[in-house]
Amino acid sequence: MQYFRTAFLGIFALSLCFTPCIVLAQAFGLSDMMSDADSATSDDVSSSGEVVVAESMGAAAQQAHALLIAEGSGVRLLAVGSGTGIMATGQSGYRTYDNINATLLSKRAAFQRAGMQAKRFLVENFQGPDIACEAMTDDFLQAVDTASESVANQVSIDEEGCQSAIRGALSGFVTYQVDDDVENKTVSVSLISTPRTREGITASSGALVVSTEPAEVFNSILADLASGVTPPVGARLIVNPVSGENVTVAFGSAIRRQNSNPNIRRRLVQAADDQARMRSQAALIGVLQGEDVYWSGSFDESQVEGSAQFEVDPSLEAEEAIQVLNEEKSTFLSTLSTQDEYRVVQAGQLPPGVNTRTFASEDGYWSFAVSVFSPSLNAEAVRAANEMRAAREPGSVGAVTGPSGRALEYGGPNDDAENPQGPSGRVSDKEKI
Amino acid sequence: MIRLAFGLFIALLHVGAVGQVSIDANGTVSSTQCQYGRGQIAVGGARDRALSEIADFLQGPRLIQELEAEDVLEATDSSGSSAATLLQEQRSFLLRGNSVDSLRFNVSPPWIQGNDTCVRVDLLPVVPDAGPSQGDVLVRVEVIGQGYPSGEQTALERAEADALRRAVSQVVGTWLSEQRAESSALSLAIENDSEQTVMSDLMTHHLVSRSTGYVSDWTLLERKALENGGVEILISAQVDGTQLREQGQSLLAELGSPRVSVIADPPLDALLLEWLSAERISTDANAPLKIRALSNLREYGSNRRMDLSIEVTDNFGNLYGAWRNTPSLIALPDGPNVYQDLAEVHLSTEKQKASLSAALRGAFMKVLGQGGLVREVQIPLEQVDDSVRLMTILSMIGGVSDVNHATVGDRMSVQMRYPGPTAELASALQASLAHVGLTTGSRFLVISDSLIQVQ
Repeated sequence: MQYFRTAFLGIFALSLCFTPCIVLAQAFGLSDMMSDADSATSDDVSSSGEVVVAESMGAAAQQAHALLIAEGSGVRLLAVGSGTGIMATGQSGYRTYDNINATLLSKRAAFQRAGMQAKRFLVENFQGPDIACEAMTDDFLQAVDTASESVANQVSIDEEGCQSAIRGALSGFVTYQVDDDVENKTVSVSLISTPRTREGITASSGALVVSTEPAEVFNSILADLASGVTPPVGARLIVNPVSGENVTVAFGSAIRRQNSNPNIRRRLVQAADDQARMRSQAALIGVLQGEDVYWSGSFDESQVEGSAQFEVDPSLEAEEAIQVLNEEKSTFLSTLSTQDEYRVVQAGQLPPGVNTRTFASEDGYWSFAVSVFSPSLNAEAVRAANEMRAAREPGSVGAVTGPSGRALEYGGPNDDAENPQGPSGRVSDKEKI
Repeated sequence: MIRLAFGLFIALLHVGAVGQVSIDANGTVSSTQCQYGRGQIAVGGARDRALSEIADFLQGPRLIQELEAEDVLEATDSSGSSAATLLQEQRSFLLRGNSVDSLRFNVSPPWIQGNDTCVRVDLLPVVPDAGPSQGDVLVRVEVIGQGYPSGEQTALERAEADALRRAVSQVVGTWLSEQRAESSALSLAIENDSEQTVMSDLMTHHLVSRSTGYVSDWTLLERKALENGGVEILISAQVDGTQLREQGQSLLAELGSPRVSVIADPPLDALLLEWLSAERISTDANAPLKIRALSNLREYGSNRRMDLSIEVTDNFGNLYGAWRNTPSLIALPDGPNVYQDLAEVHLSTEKQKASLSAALRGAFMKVLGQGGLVREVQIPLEQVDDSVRLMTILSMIGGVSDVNHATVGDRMSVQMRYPGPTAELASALQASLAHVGLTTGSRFLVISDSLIQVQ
């Protein structure tokens, strides 16, 4: 395992995520991606500790994801013949309520939280956290011996506290799979970073100009998107099969709040579309330009354990103050306090040519948005913007054609409330990661 | 489920591609948008949404998203009992701003789709000097306008106004500034068997579109009746295009200050005021843009020559342009009126006048090119938790640039450029900063054309 970790760090130190993001020319050909992961038998994939070794990245990812889902959350390194990847899974729970809006908001927040947790694992695996721990043990023993009897009181106090923090910049990852377990009310988000995703995203944001009809870009990604789930968070990379152009697609989502008034409901739908749109654009900035991830966690645990065979009554004289108990008295008190704090920031300016589209989920509860960026769309936008700027120059103007109420009800959680299945399934094609 | 939703996605794409930017084979960028309702308000709303899409496509918006989550778990176990509390808090803040000017576009006639009114907006390709025009100043366009009777206005009047708006937006273009912000908070507190959840969302949207132009002449070409008493007309309109953009008043309106102030001794002040009036530029002693004239008489034996310089500055000492006369142009014998005579001569010769006009227009263009006039926003320090975060957020507001700050007494003084009116900036700030708690119970008051105070 240590070998793979070292190899992984060696590659990732140069290629993954840290600003400025530098990507090595990976010796990772298309043929590496074309092997059929589904045909991979257990003999083709082996797992040792945190590392999954396989013939292809797709097979390794599939195995790693299964392991991570079984464990709940965590990270796995993916080692294939010509490259190293990493997958991280975050998991979070949500609640259901009588108010469907509250259920959906809780679920979306859980997706967001699970995504943040997965990003933390990615950064943590790369650079390791700063950790400071402190532990203390105190033992008290009081013994009384007389000529005929011996009694003792004993107390042990154990205290332990740890603080850990991670800060880093992350980019070049895509969403591998999202899941909503409606039975257990938990969601999980799996992110993956491979040589291909890192190189692909860099290439899609580079200066490559492909002579492609922009409408075709959208159409080509539609077919590819249809092969996977639209996740509420994250991004994925699509390669236009005709032009070979890398297209980065970022996702955003928002809850379409339900309301009995059709006018308000219509406005809420529009607001949800706008929210999803903004969030997908923010996700795109995170993928193209990187995002800052910060996590700090701490715990304090203390335990007091003791046994007493006598008590001291301070109101009596010394000889009589000690009262031997008929039965030995045991005490136990344990307190645990944990704190986790996540912070993810995406900031910057989107490049020209980002095209965003919003649409509704089949059940009508969600607004989804996809923001698409490709070199050819970028080139078209730059051309149009240059024309527009040129028009500002003097002399370049050309002719053109063309009242009573009630108190708001506050309800509590309801485990039997309506809980529409959230997005679940594979996001990125395992053969193209 | 989501795969089926994707089917809907594809279906929508083929039904007019509502809600996304499309580019046709000729390279025309367009967007189709719908707005609930009927009439001019719905048409305007759909048009602005389509323009916003196009603006985002041409120039990516500035954007910041902050996601925060905190979990605190406390558990206590004794030999006979167990108790636990869990506090989960999640917050998100997203601010997105964009500002694009000179968007020339054509709006399609609106159509009804269910309860919505839809329009298609095409970004106009630039075809220099095409079509019948008078020189490079006036541009003649043919546009369609539609109107329905409303209030005291007839359908024809509204159709004429619609057509004239379209003519200006095609020739002069539109400046669009948009800010969207949202903040969400979710708090879950569990204490043993008791549980409380609070969720809140706040969304603000601030969109301004402005088009300033002058239609010098128009002719009705066609007129036809529409259903419900509406009228559709085709007019030929002559729009003062490039020249109007270059004229001082138009530029100043775009800068957000309708006036300039003149600082000069007599008789230079009167001469400059006369020139500004001819250029349709209003003056005000408190205007943020200053035109300052300095003069000096030089002795050449018994003759006198005049050194004359004019500067364009703002309230913050930024210099945008300067002009100097040619002193050797004329020398006059010394006398009681020599100063006035020399000033009048220098400001009346065609060459000097043209040179001065060019310098002042150049200065106004420079203000515009730098991102608009500088405004100062004064914020009480007690309302500023994190100045770095505040500066980052202010920098994301559409149109805002060159943000810097300093502490002055008990206030933070933030200076920034903005290419629109001060009241508009105050409104954008109010909408955006409400999400970060700065403006809870606070108001952004416009004290002057260059000063906004948070109170």
